[in-house]
Amino acid sequence: MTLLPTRPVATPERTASTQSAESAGSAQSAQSAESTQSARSAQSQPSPRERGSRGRRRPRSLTIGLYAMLGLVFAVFAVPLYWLFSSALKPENEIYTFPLTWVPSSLEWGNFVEAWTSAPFGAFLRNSVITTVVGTALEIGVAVLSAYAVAFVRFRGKMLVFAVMVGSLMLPGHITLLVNYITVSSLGWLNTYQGLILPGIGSAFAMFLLYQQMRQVPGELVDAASIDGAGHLRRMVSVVGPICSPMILTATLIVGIGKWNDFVWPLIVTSTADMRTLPIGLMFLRSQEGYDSWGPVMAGTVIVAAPMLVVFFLAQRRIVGGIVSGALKG
Amino acid sequence: MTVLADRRRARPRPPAAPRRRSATRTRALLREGLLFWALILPNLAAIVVFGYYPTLYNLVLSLTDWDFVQPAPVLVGLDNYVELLRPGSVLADALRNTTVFVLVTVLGTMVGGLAIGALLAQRLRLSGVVRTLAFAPHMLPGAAVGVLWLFLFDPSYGLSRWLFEMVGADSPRWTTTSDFSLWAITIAYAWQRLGFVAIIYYAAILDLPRDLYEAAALDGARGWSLFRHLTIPLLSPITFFLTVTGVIAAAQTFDIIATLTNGGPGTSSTTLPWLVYEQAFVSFDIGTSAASATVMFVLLLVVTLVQTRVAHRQVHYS
Amino acid sequence: MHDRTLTRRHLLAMLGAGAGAAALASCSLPTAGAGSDAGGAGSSALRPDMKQAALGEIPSQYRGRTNILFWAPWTGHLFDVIAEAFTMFNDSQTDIYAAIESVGGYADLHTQFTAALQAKAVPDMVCFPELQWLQFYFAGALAPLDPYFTDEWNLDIYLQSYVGEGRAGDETYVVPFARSTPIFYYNKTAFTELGLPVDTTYTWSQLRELGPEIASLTSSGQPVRTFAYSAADGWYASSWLWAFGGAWTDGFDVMPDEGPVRDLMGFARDWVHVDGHAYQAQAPHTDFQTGLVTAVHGSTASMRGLTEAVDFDLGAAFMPGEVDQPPLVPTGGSGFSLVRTDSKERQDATAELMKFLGTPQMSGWYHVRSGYVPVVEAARDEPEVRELHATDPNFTVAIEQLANAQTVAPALWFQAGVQALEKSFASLTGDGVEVQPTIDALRVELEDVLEDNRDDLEALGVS
Repeated sequence: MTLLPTRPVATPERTASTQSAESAGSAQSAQSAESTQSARSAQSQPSPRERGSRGRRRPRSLTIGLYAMLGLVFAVFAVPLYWLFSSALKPENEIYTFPLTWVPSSLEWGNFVEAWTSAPFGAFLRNSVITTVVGTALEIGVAVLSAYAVAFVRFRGKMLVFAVMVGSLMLPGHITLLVNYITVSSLGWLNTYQGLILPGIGSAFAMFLLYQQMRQVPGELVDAASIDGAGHLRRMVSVVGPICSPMILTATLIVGIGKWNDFVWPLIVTSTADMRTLPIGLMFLRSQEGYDSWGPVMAGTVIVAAPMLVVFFLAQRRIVGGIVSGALKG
Repeated sequence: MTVLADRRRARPRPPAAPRRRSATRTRALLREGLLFWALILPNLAAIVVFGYYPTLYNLVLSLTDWDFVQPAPVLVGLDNYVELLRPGSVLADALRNTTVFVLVTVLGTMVGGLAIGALLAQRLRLSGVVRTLAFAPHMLPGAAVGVLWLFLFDPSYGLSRWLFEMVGADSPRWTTTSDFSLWAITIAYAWQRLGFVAIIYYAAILDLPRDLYEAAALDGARGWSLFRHLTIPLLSPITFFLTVTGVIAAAQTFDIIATLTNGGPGTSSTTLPWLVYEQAFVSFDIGTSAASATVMFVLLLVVTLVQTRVAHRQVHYS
Repeated sequence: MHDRTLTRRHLLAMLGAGAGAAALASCSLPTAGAGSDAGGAGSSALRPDMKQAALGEIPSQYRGRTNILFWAPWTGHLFDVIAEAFTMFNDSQTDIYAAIESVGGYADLHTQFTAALQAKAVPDMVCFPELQWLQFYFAGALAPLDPYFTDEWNLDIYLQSYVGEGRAGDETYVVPFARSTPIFYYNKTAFTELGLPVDTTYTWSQLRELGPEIASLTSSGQPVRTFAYSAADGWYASSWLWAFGGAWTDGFDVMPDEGPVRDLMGFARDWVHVDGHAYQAQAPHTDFQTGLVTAVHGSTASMRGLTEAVDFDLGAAFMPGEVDQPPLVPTGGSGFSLVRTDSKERQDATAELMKFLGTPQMSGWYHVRSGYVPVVEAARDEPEVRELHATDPNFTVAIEQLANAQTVAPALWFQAGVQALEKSFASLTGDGVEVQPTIDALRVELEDVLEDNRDDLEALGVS
């Protein structure tokens, strides 16, 4: 085995996910094609459709070995996830037993009911949705504005300001916790949406991603628009925005996922069950149910995990592609 | 393949504006300036108010003694640091645990991720399914991962018991024994991150330039040597990226610890972020917590800078 | 803590240093000498800067009333019970709506309340365990209850064992509510099956000897264990040490006699790591319910929950003795305190709520549904309670054990002290560490706790 990068052939069993991850690299070239100027220096990118030119056939024993390893990898990820879902549906006597019961004999939907009623999941869900949607909208909006400012607006010290903002990426979240808590509590914002959302909207990360993208918008397009009399705002909305919209979407997804899964800030800023978000609510559920109700606790975990999994399956291509291209081009 | 954003190269050179002293020109520049500030202020303000200011004020707090209940903090100078930096202090424990945790998870996920990524890059059926499953844990909230593994680690009814009995042993008491609690959070966190690393490596491997490989193959290079001398160097920018982000992410992991072990038993699974939280919000020792946070900040900064320096030497760009 | 603020010194001075000796046997805090118009109430019972914390949604049938908020340190079944009591209160009158929130456990309440004081948004009523309310009293966060006492509702109606712990100076800051003693729960069915003694008191050594016999039973493929420790046994540790004839502190002396401590720690450690018949469980009561272990200890507050959850005969006994039989046990549980806020109206309303819950009917009602001791003396004559005691004598065990109950040692009046004790035993039973180093480390930590709070303790008459 040479661990040669194999170019997957256009075989029928390829799923959308296959396409997404591979085309991450070529998403780059696709976007370059959209803009007339290709910013990337020459990097050989064989198209996905090209058949592998290696004439070497893989020996059968090697193939079996590879599939065995693939099976092992599959098990490592699939088994815990399977246990999550199956335990959520198991009746209690099939959880507290040994030897383990692998397949539930009947689907105990009651676990979900118990989880939902034992802790105010309705409130948790509502709070997570509000803080994620509003927070993401604010963060991305603010990031778009500031990325545009750095990329297109003329100002002498702008790179310095940019550097200062990007420098904030070096600050680990935990060093700001305490003081932010003090700030928020003296403003009376504990247990409020503003307290949950506002401290999180300043982010150099999204701005940085968008800035990189905006830099690649061909100057001619922007200049053409300004000659036509469009001011900055117009240019932003009608030229830069649409071109960068894939990246904006990707950034939105990534930021949104981060906000949904946010844990330590909601933990200290909320103390009433009414204002908690889903991840904190799960901890709360566990302390309510104790250890003798793994069924409802697993059901609660499924409730908490499900939205992200749904988003993942729907937008897998975008999410993985976005993260990967972010990694590949740094 | 440029991975590092080289700031110097990234700075665009704006075309030199001709310095004409016309009023309209000045007004236009002024407008641009105002617009710049208007656009950037929300983000900048948020970053300063919730990022830089807390870091600085935190430094000040670290020189005080306060418990939230008393009306005002009391200055005590460097006492908190002296307490913390003694050998055998909780900070020493947390440092040791964090180091082990970060090293094991980063190394483990990098090696494992590379292997899995390479595996996925082979022409195998159903690897698409595996790719999806591998990435899924990364999407889950850390709290969900923690609670799930709490169940899996149950020594009487969990998967752990089943696995250990297969080799004829008893399941260790993962979360109630000091010897194992650190491994419990390590395993749970590594599981969450492994697929993420694997997928990134997978995509990066697919991106590798084939012509280099063909040339090398023509020269007679085979298998392992190709891997060692071609693949790994070519992947070094990705490796660097994953290492830096991996260290930062691992060093700041909190939610898995909160749901799985609460830092215990004792301080056996207390890492730096957990210590900072516990000292502030459980023990209400604000000064000490601020000091711990400062130490953590400085350490992370140093580690990242060292890594960057190493990278400049080791990372190969095309 | 180094410096105290001026207000605190002021408070302590008014308490009067050099008060009478601690009357531990009657579990009452020493009252201050004459001349104190008492700490917190010298100033008014109101604090204009303390607003009410967030209330959550008010059900429509209760709108338009005075709203008060209680932070409950209970979860699960116990929380359901108190929530039901609150509904009964809300339905019984039309002026007040009492909202209730679960904040987790006692440790969580401590955290949340401290944060609330900082944020100046507090509940109207809280429920602190044993003597942990003292810290908040010293911070000026609580209001005295004496102005609200009437002929029907005053300290005389309560079990006197618990009353003293709620007073400082000449004033009352806590009325008992959910008070308890620790209980030794065991699987009566299993014991009977093996021919072991039931309905009696045990000693630790005796239980240890039963190990091999109990292990002859299996459950879920494992031999059944005798006893399950947990990582949070700080409260029970008082009873353990008293049983072995020792004491955690005597005034400011930590572990004056190390002999019993060594015996106790060695016993626990060996029972787990040498015999293997005891162990540290993540959730002792779960293992007990599922039959993995035949005995655990728990608060009497778990009585109702366990009775319903187990599918075997539940045995409840005094805590095991050893050198002393029966051993002294610590008082436990919590009582209601009134928080100093900006509204007299809300404080009055809160007192009404306390009155309601302090009637014999409600006290008995709560006892039957939880297992907590019926703190109002007259409650024992309630028909519901009488019937329960006749049919299930387990519920009387805690009441009978009250004769042996006393307040825990001063070092354990503070969370820090309790946690130090818990950590020591968690290491012993979980990791099997050496006894002497554990004692030495614990000594240092308990001494620190006592030192940190020396002024407060001396003001209370500890010496």
